[in-house]
Amino acid sequence: MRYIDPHLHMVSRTTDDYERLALAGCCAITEPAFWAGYDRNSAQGFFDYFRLLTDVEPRRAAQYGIQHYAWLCINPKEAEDLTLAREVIGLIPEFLERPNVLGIGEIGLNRNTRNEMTILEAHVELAAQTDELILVHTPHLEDKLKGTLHILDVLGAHPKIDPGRVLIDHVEEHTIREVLDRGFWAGMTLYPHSKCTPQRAVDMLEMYGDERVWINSAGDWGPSDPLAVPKAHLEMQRRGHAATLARRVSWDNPRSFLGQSPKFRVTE
Amino acid sequence: MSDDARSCPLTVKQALDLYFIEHRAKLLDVAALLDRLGRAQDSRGVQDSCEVDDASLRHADARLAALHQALRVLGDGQGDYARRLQMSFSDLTTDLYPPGTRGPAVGTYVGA
Repeated sequence: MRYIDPHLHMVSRTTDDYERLALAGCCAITEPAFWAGYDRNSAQGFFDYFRLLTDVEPRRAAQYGIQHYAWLCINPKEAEDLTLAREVIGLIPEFLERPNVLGIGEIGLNRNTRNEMTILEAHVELAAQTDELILVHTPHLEDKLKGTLHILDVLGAHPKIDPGRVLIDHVEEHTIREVLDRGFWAGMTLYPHSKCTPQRAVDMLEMYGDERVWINSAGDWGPSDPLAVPKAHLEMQRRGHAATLARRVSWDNPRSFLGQSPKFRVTE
Repeated sequence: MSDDARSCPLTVKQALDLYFIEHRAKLLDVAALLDRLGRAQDSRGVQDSCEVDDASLRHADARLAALHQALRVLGDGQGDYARRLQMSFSDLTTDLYPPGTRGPAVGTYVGA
């Protein structure tokens, strides 16, 4: 089955993973800007990173027939330095015109600090001005509930933000209902230890439905599995779900959400 | 799909056929961890909590308490276990924190 993984940090993966993705049926990925494992200390570092996301990775992905799209931001983990963060946000507009850039992401909160919120709000304002799609990172572990609620409040209060153009990623059992009830899209991330398993993701699909929901692997430089999405498809099959469920969350739904950007063109 | 009371398409037997062995192993991992904590150099027995000022030991207490609270949730027969477990580990305060005051997440709320 052809599928889309809408959240993968390929900059931290070897080219072997592109081959594995292609063999598994992945035909498109989207890669949010994220924390690279260390705190960058200059806007130039982010400029070069944005070049990598918009130039190098699309070419690397194309070697295996995979379409690569990107999101841009300064991630919440590096948002405590307001001066640097504002300088990085100032770089984003020139990259928004690149053919593979879908919007602003992955913005959000990390440890739920006031500076993180300041930078989140600045990103939201930029997205509102340029009518970009938004991809949101919700905090890890004990911070997830509190951070998710703050994020939803900020987005919900902005008069120009349409929840239907915002994907709240890394939802778990205690946040998914609130995200969906408020009209946002919800992403379930199949990432060991700190996020969700394929089994729990399928549980949540059974309990909350498959509307406005997608699944992703968020494979990055930590212990993670770029093939987590097809493994979730296997879990659906083990439980006797029709193949339409896997197609819905890994093809139809990503195309619906991402297709709101005129740049996203993935065909059957 | 709706009405989560019967939203799993499997029977109880089918679900156990698929998942029992795997989760038996996960439960043994938890049991072994509790034993390991009891054999730790500074253990006073897994039920004790120390009155300490050191932040790292305060963390250790909070995580130990979180483990035991998690086991109580799992054993209380009230259902909705995954969500309630997530809530038991969560920071339920509402105010944002001052900048630069927080280290990495540890997996359970340990206080400001």
